[in-house]
Amino acid sequence: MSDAHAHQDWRAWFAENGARLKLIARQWTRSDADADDVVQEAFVRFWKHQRHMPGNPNALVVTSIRRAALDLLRRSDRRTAREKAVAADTETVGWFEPEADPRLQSLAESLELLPAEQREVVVLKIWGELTFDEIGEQLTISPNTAASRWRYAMETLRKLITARTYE
Amino acid sequence: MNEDNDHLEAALRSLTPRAPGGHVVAALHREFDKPVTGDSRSWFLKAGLLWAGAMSVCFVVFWGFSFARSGAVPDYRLIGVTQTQPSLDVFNPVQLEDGTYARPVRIHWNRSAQWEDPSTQTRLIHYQPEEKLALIPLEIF
Repeated sequence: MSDAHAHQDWRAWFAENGARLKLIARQWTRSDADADDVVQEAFVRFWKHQRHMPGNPNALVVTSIRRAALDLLRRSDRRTAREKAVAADTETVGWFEPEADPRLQSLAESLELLPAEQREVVVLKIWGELTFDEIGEQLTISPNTAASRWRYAMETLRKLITARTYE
Repeated sequence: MNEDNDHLEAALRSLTPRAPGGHVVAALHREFDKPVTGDSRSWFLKAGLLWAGAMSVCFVVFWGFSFARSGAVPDYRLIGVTQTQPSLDVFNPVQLEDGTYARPVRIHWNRSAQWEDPSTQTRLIHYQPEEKLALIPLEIF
């Protein structure tokens, strides 16, 4: 098997994409620290075993992240102390860098309030750079369902932003 | 509505997700710096060899088990027992140590039993010849 990305600078690739990967991981984890762990584990797994594969590595990395996150969730019932220590962090650490524009800040906060099934579609489409077909494969739903969730998410976001504007 | 969605999507894209912690980047850099001893190609090769080895072991175990099963525990069932008519040989009279006379006779017959294993259509035949010698006392008047 030939190395499709023999000349890829993976440090640079991660520096460029690490933040959006963490946001994706955050959709399936309970805390910021867990998202960090998942990104690290998933990317190491990808880098060791899949980096030679042809095509855009993005979908492979996203798949690796989802698997690592689900593995962590399965293990999480058995974990205790560390999670309790970071539990408070779940609510305090935002997913985005603070925005100077109050409308963007409101949008960032509204995104976190979306129902999880709508939110993950939005994140996978915008920051995962996946098509509805690819999102369907990731979430084991049909592309039509993914597209439908996207439309609902946009509608919900508009309502949330409007409500926050008049608060 | 689509135009609204486009605006919203553009606004979402302008948000900046938080970067992973410094410890994540440091850990990845350590990983990148490790000498590559097992890349995916050798990993696939190892996995293939392991798979082939495992399948071979499974085959040998299955074959051995089947062989042992059919060889060690035959399912023979008794299907018949036969006995031939006894035949009698009568010999000339002989004088015994006490002065009396007796006529030796020999009776012999054959017995056989047959078992069959229906699964292999094999038969086990046990053939057993039987013989008895006797002296019939003779009265001489």
